[in-house]
This record gives sequence, C-alpha cells and structure tokens, in this order.
Amino acid sequence: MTDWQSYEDGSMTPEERAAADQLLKTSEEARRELAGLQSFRRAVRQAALQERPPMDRLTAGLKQITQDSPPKRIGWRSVRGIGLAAAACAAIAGAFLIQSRPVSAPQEANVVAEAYNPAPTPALAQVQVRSASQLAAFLREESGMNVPAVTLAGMASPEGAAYGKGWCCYDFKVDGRVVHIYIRPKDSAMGGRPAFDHKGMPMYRQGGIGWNCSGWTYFVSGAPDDVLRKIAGAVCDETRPQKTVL
Amino acid sequence: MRLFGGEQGFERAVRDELPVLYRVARRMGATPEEAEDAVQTTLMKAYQNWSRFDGRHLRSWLIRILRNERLMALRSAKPVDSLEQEGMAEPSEETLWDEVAWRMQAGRILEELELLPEHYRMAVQLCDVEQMSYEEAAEAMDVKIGTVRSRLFRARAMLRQRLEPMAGTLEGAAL
Repeated sequence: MTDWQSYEDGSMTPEERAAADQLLKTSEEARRELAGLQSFRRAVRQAALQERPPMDRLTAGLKQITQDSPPKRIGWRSVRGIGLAAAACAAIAGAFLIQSRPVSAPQEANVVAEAYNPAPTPALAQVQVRSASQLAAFLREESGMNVPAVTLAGMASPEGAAYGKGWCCYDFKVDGRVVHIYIRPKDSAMGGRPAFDHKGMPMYRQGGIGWNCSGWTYFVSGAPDDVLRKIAGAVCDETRPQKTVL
Repeated sequence: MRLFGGEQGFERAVRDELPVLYRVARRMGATPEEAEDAVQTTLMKAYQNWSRFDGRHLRSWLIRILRNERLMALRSAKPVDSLEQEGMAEPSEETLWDEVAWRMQAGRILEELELLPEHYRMAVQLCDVEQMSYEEAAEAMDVKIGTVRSRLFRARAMLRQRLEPMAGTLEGAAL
C-alpha cells in the first residue's frame, strides 16, 4: 500500500517516488486516494482558519509590550479595554515611522488589519485537476458564479479548486506549497489602508494579500509574504481589465 | 543573533505570527480569552529573550514558548491528557484515502480535532493548518521529525475515520 503522506511531504526515496508516479498514471484508485488526502487536508485547514483572531487586541498588546520598559505582564482584560484606541495610536505611530525613515523603494504602509476571512461559508465541493482551464470551468459551472479564470501560466502548477456559497478558490502549487486564490463578489471587508500597490492597484495585508477589482474581491494566502506578493501581482495582471489603446 | 534590531525589529518580526499563535493556543484548548492571554504571555517571554533567538525558525520558537507556558498553566490546573485517551480508538493501519468532497460544517471538523490527544492535535494544527514544514513543527514541539510524521499520520487517520461517515461524495469529479 502506497504511503501517500510520504508522497505528499516529499520523504519518499527517488525509487519509491517513481513507483508512486507510475501508479498514479495507471491507477484511478491511486489517484482517488491521493486526491482524497489532499482534499481532506484542505478541509481541515479551511475549518481551522474560519475563526478570526482578534488582531486589533493582539496587535495592541504587542505594541504595549515593546513600549513598556521593563515589559510587564498585561491581562487580556486590560488589553481589551485598550481596543481600538491603541490600534489607532499604533497606526499613527507607524505612519510617523514610515515618513521619517529613508526610502529608496516605494513606501509600504506598516499596516496590520484584522485577518480577512475569504471563505465564510463551508465548502460545498472540491476537486483536484491539473488543468487550469478545467479549474475555471468547474468553478463557473458548479458554483454559479462567473469568476475570472486564473491560470498563472508558467508560474505555478494547478492543484485544484473549491467553492462555497459566495466564494471560489483556486489552488496552485508554488515551491512545494499550495497557494490559495480566493475570489468572491466584492466584499467591503477587504479595504482600509493599503499596505502597498501593484501597478496602481491598492493591495491590502489582512492575513494574506487581498485587493478589489472590477466587482470582485481577491485574496491569496498559504505562503510566505514574498511568494504571495508575486502570485497576487500575477493574478492581478491576469484578471484586471486591459485598457484598449485606440 | 538578532534578525532585526530592538523593539521595532521584534514587533515587525512577530506581528505576522500573531494569528498563528492565537490559533495554536485555541487548539490547545484555550478559550478565546485564554488564548489572547497566552499570546500576550508568549510575546512577553519572547521579547525578554529576543537576544537568545538564533534567527532560524521564528514561528517554531514562538510556538515552543507558547506551548511551554500553556502546558505549565494546564499542569497546575489539571493533569495533561495522555496519548491514551479514553474512547479514542487507534486507527486501522489499513485505512485508505478515498476522494471525497468534505461536505460538512467546519464546526464538526473542529469538534473532532478537539477530541484528539494534544500531541496529535498539534501535529495537524502545525502541519496541515499552519503549513509548517516537518523541521519547523518538530522544533516547535521539541520532538524528532520522525515523531511529527508518525503523529500526523495517526492524527489524520483518526480524524478521517471519525469524519468520513458525514462526508458526501463528489459526483462526476474528474482528475
């Protein structure tokens, strides 16, 4: 019996991996097993990420720790009492620090917003296919939403897709990690002060990288920030309306 | 070795880890308020020991602090659950994965996750939810990489066995 966990985590020997790859080519059951494991992992992750951490209080607590000297223990109740006022002070202090430091690259706002929840409803279906066009077709046909197609041609390999009521998600593999690209009808929760911009498009850091464009809200997550920025930029370039030069 | 200097460096480095720490604390059985407190305590300890951080796996280092603090707090309150949790049958080694669409409420998954022994629960949280590597997870849990792998294997199998009766089947799914 093939250990698909080892296949997924890359711990197979080259010989074992070759045998597993061969099995995947010839055995429908093997493909279902691997897809099942991957679907399961996605479901667990999605479920666990549905709870939104109280970022305003956590950030205020962090700020208070570094400002106190020596640091003293602060109970969560007093941190809750600080709440939005402390978050506002932190934002103002952050803006001052940004203006006062020398910059050679475009400035980025040191903004931490509450983590965005791109999938507020449970997943209704998931699929694993390795064709980007099949992913888009699946999402459009099954979800009923005419979401933009995302291919990330050459940058990443398609892994799968999922959708729930009001959201869709493309999964692509980048450097061994699965990056999730959520798309949903424009959501007012994505906004505030941009962290940076991509070719004039304001981008927000809310537990991942998100932006709004042409009636859709996009959100990428699942990888380190530098990877997410590249992917977000590529998705933005691929999906934003192109200006027609007359 | 410090990654970045001083208070601002600490703040910048740690800020992105706040949601992870909160979620890990919750997965350790903390209520939302206890989790906030646990994160706060962790940040204080980390700040006090910032000069000792070797600059390698920040997330693992912070989670290790959080787990130590949380486990100490739990030990003083009640016995820590052991690997042999009553009523939690060991998974069959023959469990096979099958492609299913997990049509279930997120709450149900989390309920079952909470019923796993802490060691298994943490392996799932760090590797599947937070997508840490085995090396990072091993460092966070202060165990060997092989231990992380085996705990993860068992945890996934146990979860799947308990959740599968509630899952539906994706009709017409194609690979």
